[in-house]
Amino acid sequence: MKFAARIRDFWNEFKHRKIGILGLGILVVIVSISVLAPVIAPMDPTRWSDVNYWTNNPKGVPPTWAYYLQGKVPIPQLYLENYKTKLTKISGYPMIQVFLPINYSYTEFPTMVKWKINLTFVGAGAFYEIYIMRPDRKKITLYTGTATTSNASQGWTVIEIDATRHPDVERRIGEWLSSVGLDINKIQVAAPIQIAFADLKLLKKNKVVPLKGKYVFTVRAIAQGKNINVTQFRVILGATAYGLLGTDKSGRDLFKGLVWGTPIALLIGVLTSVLGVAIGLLYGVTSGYIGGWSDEAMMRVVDILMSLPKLPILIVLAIAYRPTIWLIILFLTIFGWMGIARVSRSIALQLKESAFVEAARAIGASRKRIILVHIIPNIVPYTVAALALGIPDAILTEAALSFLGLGDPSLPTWGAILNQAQTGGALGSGMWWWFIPPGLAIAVVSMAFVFIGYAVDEIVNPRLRRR
Amino acid sequence: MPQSDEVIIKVENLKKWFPLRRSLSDITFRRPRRYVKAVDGVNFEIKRGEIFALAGESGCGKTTTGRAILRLIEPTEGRVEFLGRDVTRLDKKEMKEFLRRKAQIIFQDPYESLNPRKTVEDIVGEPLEVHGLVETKAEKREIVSKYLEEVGLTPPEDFIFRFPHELSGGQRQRVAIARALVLEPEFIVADEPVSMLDMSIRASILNLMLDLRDKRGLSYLFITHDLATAKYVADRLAIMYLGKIVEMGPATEIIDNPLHPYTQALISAVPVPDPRHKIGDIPIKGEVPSPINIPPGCRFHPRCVKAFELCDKKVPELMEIEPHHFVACHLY
Repeated sequence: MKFAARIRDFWNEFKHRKIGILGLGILVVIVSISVLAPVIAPMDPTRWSDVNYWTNNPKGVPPTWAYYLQGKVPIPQLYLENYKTKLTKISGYPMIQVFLPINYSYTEFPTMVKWKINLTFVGAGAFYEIYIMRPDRKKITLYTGTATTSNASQGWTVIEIDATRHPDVERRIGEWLSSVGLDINKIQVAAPIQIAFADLKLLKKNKVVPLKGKYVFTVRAIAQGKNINVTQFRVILGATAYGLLGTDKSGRDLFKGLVWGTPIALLIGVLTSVLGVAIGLLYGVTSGYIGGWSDEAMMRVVDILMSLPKLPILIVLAIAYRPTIWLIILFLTIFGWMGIARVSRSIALQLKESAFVEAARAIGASRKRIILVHIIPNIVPYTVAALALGIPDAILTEAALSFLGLGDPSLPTWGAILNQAQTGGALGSGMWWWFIPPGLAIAVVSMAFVFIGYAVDEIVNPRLRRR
Repeated sequence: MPQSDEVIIKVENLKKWFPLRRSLSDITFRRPRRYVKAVDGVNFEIKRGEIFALAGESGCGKTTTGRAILRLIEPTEGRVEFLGRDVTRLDKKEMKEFLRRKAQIIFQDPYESLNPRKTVEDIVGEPLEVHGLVETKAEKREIVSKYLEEVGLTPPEDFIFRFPHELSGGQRQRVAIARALVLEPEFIVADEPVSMLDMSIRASILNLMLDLRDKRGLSYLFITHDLATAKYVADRLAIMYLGKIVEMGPATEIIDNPLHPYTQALISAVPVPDPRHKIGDIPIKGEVPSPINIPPGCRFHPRCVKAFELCDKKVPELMEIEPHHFVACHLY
């Protein structure tokens, strides 16, 4: 009833403060993103560090819109799966050929060429060859191998080759290049496999341009037995741009990381700040109200904790305990309540002498009741601003820890993304989409709370002083 | 007046000395601890249904006396006998069950004495909750309403949901009085209850207090610096100076016939609505000395116009000079 009226009064004052409204606006966006994260960016956030989860994504590519901004059209991610099969016999052994044709008309190379073949056979083993037939009728063998089995009645193997980074592939492309009179070491490409798509005539003039036309990705396999079959054949050609914020070098969708970083940052910030304020409030008020030697002792504890260098100790703790997010929140809370404790104590010292507290003593109210019913509710308004300002503090400290690689390794926190960008050499290779968005996100979220905190501070403090 | 001869409270040699913080050199040179002697041996008694006023300049120790009696601050020395029990020896449980229920206090500033975040109902009902006298909210509301009505806040429904800042000063003081009354105390310390209020509402608050005394047989320790107010409400009056009572007796007798030079000076300073009347006919010298360095002998002697050689040597005792009229002065 009356509480609602006070909230309304507060809002009437708050809405005249542009900076506060700006902060609140950002906060609304942040909270919406956090709530809608499963809808906007569906993923299991705990699998962020699971490399297999991202394995099929293009690696380290910029956002799609950045491509369009440059007036270029990116190659989409291509999943080639509708293969054709041809079964023959060679020297009495069964041979299978599977083909995935594609009409390649793009002006850029695929960023990734990834093969997956599921081969079954009956017999002692199987020999297979992976190659590309180019539009100029040249054949490039990328890989050969044998599959063996101990179970002669049913052999089975899954061949997965990421031609983008396989050393055998690189060697064979080098061999193929020298057979046409070129040296792989003199050609500048992101991955050797891209040469398999290059126009040879232009390559001889030192121009690396894709050859347009029909490519056929082929696997040929011969079983040393009676039977052979391919149950799955897929080639993925990596896109040159991906999604809203591109990918990192492991192929992680950075947009998903950014979105899921939001609720985590809020959780860390809000929980740490609320816990810190609650502990500080209780501690400070108790210390101030009891007074005397216990006050002296309790405040010295605060002084000691305050004078400890926070970040180095957090680093040591983080190294010692391989922290989860909850442990980090606990550590941050341990170092985050002293300021409030001091402020609360000094206000409690004033309130303790006030007539209404003396009146409460005169009616026989216990010390606990006076602290909880009479003192704390009168300090809470002062702590609202500190609460808001404590949130960015926690977020920034967590980001710093994560940036040093000491955060919760399983979750996509913004600091962790920055850390991976740093170790992945994002700055050197110009992968701005890797480090700018998380950096901005940290700044914007912190700013929102700082703005709100300032606006609240302006309202709460002078008003109470006026009274 | 329902005044009886039953002594309800008896204060004997009450002292409250506040120790001064000692500096490092004080400790190393082992200088004795120094004290602010706010109350330095006060004796009086209050009868059932009596209004006993304690008057004096600010800093004379009258407020400290009131608080020490209720043990809102711990007395340094002395006895306070309340309803036959020594208040200074009560343990925690007895304090709550006896003193905190039977004796209450009303403060000077009604803007300060009410928690700004509580409604009137919560403020007046809190003593009932603390002492576990009500079980349901309805019960609490009923009792609170009854007392609001008794202090003239009618109809109570208009007040129970209000916050202190929504009330006038007079209304707030009525709330404070209602809070003091809900436990049905027998003794109330009223610490300058009207000095912060407008002249126009002072009389109504004082009359309310007088009514309550008549109806309930309450006794008051009425602390004031205003002799006119003291004369209006008090049955007996004591004048304090630097922690000691210098004159005590029936209120009208003291004001009409002051014997102590200090009392005479105080009374001559009371404004009289007569343009020919000169203020301060009886002069008083200088300022009140610090209660840390109390003058030897009669503590008023440095400022007294009638002081003679005995005054700075011997402490005058409080003696009954006329029937029921006590004075501590070497002149008598």
